[in-house]
Amino acid sequence: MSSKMENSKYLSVGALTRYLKYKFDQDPYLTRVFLKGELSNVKRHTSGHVFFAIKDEQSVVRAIMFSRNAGSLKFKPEEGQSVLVEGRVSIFESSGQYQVYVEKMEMDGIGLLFEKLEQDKKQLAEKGYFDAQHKKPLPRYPRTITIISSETGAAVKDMITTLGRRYPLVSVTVINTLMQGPRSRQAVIDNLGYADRLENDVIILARGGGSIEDLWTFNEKDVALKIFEMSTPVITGIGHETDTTLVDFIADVRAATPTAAAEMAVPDQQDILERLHQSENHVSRRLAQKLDSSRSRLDTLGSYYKLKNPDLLYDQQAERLVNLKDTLDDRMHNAIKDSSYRLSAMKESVRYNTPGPEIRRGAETLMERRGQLDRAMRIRTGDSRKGLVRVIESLNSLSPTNVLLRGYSFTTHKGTIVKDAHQLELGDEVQSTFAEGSIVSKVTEVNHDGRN
Amino acid sequence: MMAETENETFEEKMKQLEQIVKQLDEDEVSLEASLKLYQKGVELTAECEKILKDAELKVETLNRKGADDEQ
Repeated sequence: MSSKMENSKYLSVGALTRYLKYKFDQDPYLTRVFLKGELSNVKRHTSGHVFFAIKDEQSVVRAIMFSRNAGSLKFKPEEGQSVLVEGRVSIFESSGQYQVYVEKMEMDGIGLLFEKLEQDKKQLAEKGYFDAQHKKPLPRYPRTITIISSETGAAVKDMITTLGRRYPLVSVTVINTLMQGPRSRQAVIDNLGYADRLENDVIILARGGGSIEDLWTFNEKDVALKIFEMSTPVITGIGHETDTTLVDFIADVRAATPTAAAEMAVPDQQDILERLHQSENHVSRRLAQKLDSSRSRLDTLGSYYKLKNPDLLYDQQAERLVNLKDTLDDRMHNAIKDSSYRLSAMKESVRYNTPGPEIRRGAETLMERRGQLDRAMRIRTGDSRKGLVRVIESLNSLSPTNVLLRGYSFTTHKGTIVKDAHQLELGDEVQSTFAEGSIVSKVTEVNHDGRN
Repeated sequence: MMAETENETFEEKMKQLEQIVKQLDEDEVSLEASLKLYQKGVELTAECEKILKDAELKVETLNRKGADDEQ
């Protein structure tokens, strides 16, 4: 209280505001407030300061976050986000409005979860986990279905009723599973693995509606990735139509509700029966058509005039046969006649051209030639013989025998004729051959004078 | 697992039936073959109907360790 108040009972606005600001800044509760609410009217100033309001069902409070604090924000403040805020409350003098000077701000529990969910969803989508190529086809007529759900929930009963009504052929294995709460994440992952090992035709993962926290297990990345790696096709039916969880994106088939999941898992027996009757009718009609068309073809063929009057089939041929036979006879007759004419003509011609006289002439010539040949041969052989005698005589005159007969002899030493006294040495034995007989003598003297 | 007249599953029978309908639609099939197909088709239809009529949903519940000890 200043002394001014004594002078006047009227306060200036500035004074009031300053007073209030002083009170705010002094108050231990207001200098450190923890506030939770929803963001609205978020404005980011070029300076980096963030202006916004925090509201709940009852009230709204203005807030500012200076750039030095806003820089450490782990998320981008946006309209509607649930936040937890730490700061102080004070008054901005020029507007006179009180506001929260925010120092720290983070997303509120579930908001934080949603933030992470969006990141996971984006990441999985980018990596192609949701792509159609990974979706396994459902069998048309499954024989076995595994349901992963909580036995206590209404969803299981709904699904079994639906399966029984639509397709009672199927046999169902329910794996009673914890579907919410902190331990449900691991329970669901374990039982998905167990269900996959059962190797049934289809797996339905389903539960009824609940709070967003109750359904959160199915927004868990680990649960989604487990479904991705399964070899059995998985249908998800989580919550109500409006609930879409992460597993719905990654499942092979997404159903809006557990009942819808059961409907998608099996065909409807009413449809099958209808199809059966349709195909039976169709088959009957087709067969009747075939019979009709076969019968009419048979009728057409049976009434063909040649079948009605089979004589027609060979009349033509019989007539042709007769004609052909006549022609053949004529031709044969003519051919024989031609041939006999040609034969007698040839006989005649042979007779005129017989070679008898020529043969005789030839024989005479032959005889004559032979005489000539003999004479010539005789003359030749006579001449030759005389020549031969002359040759023999001259040969005889050169024969060594004849030379020996004239009184010569020849001497050999060791089988070689001796022509030169140098060939021999004293004491050598030599053989001398005469016209009649031979002697062996020893060399007693060798003369080297030039006499031959 | 189901009422089976032969060793075929319901799905196999249905597939066979579809095949028969398709074959009968082809004009090349002889009359003899058609008659055989028709006979088989009618048999299969009756079998499938009977299987559906006689079928009863079988349900087995497995309680795995730690499955239901909370909630």
